[in-house]
Amino acid sequence: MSHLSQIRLDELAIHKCAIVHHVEAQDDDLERLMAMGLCNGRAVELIQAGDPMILRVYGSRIGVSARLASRIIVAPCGPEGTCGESFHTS
Amino acid sequence: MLVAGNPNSGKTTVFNSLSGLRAQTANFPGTTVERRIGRMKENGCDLQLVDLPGLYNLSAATPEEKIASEMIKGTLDGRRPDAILIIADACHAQRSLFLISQILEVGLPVVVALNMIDMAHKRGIHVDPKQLSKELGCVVVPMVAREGHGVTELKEELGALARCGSNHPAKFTLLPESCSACTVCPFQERYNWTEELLARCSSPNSEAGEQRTERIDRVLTHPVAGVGVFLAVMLGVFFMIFSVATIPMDLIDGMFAYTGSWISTWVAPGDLRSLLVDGIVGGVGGILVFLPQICILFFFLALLEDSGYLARAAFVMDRLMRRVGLPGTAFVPLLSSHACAIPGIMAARVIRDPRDRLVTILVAPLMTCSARIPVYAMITALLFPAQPLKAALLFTGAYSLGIIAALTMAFLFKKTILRGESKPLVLDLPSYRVPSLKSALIYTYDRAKVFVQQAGTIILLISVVLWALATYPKTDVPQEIVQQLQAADLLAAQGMQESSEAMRVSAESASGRHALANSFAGRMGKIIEPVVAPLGFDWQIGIGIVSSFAAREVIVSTLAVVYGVGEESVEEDPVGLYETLGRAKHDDGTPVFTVATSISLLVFYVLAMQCLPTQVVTRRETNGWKWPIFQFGYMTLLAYGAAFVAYQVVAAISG
Repeated sequence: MSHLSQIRLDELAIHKCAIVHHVEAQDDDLERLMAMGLCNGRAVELIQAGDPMILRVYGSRIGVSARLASRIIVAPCGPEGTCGESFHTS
Repeated sequence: MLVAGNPNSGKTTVFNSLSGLRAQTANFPGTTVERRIGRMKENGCDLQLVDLPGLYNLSAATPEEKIASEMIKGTLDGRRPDAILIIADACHAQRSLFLISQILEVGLPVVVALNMIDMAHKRGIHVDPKQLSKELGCVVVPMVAREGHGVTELKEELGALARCGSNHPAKFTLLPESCSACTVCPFQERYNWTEELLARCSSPNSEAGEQRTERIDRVLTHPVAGVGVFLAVMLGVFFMIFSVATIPMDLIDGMFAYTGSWISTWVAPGDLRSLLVDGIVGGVGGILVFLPQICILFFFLALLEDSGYLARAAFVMDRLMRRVGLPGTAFVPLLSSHACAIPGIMAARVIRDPRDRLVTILVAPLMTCSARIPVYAMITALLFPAQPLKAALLFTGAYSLGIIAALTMAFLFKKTILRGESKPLVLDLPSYRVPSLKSALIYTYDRAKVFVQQAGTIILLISVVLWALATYPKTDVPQEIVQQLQAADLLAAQGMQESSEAMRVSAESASGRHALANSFAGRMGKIIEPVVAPLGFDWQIGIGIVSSFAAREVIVSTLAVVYGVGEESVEEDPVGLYETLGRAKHDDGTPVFTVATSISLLVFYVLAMQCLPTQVVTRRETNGWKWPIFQFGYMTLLAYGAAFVAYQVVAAISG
């Protein structure tokens, strides 16, 4: 996990995946997202950009507002990165 | 025994297949969170099942989730549950295991139902229930609840559990003590564990089979096309409500009319008959006639929800609704209110944030419901007889006024008394699937039962009170009417049946008008006349407003009586009523229904809270009389203010 290439989740390119690095200002809403699988070390893929956007986490789709996504810091998996490989990264 | 699980895991389907139709719906004591209690018998054991709201983890945020997690921990009412049945979605095993691990740590006997294994297989996910059972130390039953596979096995396991008591000591600790130190992400350790565990119990995860859902989603969640599709879907639902519902509605109407006339043949004319026929049968029938619309709406909402579509609708509407400070999930309740505010208010349960839900409930009755249509029809016919285009424009205007008022009030409430940013969207978008008719029917039956039980009893009481207000005190029939009746008898004796009948009808209608004018309702109409005069209303319209306090459409028949058309003729010949109303004159000879008065009356009926069943449902959904009273207050003030402005402006323009 490179610390140099950390971006906000809402800046992720479409159909690209990333590993969640950390979240900022955790609250009820973020906690809910984390319980749905969007927590540190997990892979996430952007399926549809916009506000709200659609993410894929563990094979399920979650609609998330951009405001919330901007508080999630991720490390993109690289240009060739596929989400399938990153599933067992911990 | 509690039934717990993630949202969309098929929890309710499993619950229904275990307990059948006998489930009781009620709120958790002192809350607005609903629970369903069912029973099942297995091997002579009587098991009580409680269906909990869906949740993702035990440290929950919404009222629903809090109650569910407190029930599981046994901290809600101090009673620990005997056992917990967890429904796990095999397609989303990670997420399910997360919850399972948390519940296992509570230390109660647990049975896991691994649901939707057929869909998981299709997607290439193979979870081994035996291995999973070994890892978790509890029974795991694979099943496809929707098709009934595994229900028998699950019942046997639950029965065995009930007989032997807690034979599962369930000493389950996932996280080592040291983990109290990992403050960064308490979820991380747990998900590490679920991943490792799943790696041992299942074949490698492949993403096949999800393409269908994704292809559909590309259209349905598109910012423009998605909104279009959603509006088309809702248009279809509304078409069903307003076309199909008329058949059972006419049937119910006919049934109550028949009951009324049946009672009339058995009970002698007088107060008792009037109470039974006009008060009870008429009052209750007038409300129950909306039951078909309510049922159809709930039925389609259940199908849309089950298919996975409703989540997409909330998703695409989120951006638009956020402008007035409400989440996308508020859209369906508000739209449903265009058929009837009651299902709309009940459907507001999908809104996660309690404040957003309350705002939605408060403004939902401003939407034009089907009970307002007779009133709109009357006023448009008064203003624009035989001018369909102008009439259509007025109708559209009335609908738009309701929508604009609701959105504006929602915006204001969110800025003032219920201040707060709306919760950011976090919405699970489940895979599409063919909805279950059975589940939808059970849901509809359940909702209808709640409506009839909750609203029915209070409506009965209020119907009687309103009947009494319109009937008492009794006054003597005025001399000229008595003379008229005598003259009619004389004509009949002379063999002039037709003119005798005409005279009798006219005398009876005059007598009805006289009785109503002198009743409590009539006196109240006169008392409030100074209050409603600035709106351009006279005391007759005042009576109409008083009498339609519990159900707004009543004003049409009340006006028919006070302006002397006779109640019966309204249904047979509504045009006759409109013409008579159009000719109605004040004592000084000026017409009553001027353009300004008509517009003012229309505005008043668009905005006023005149529906007691809605108030009763608001009380149920907000757990007290405070909010329904507030709702009544603000809507009445709004209606009064807007009607006042409308009357003064239109009167000034039209001179």
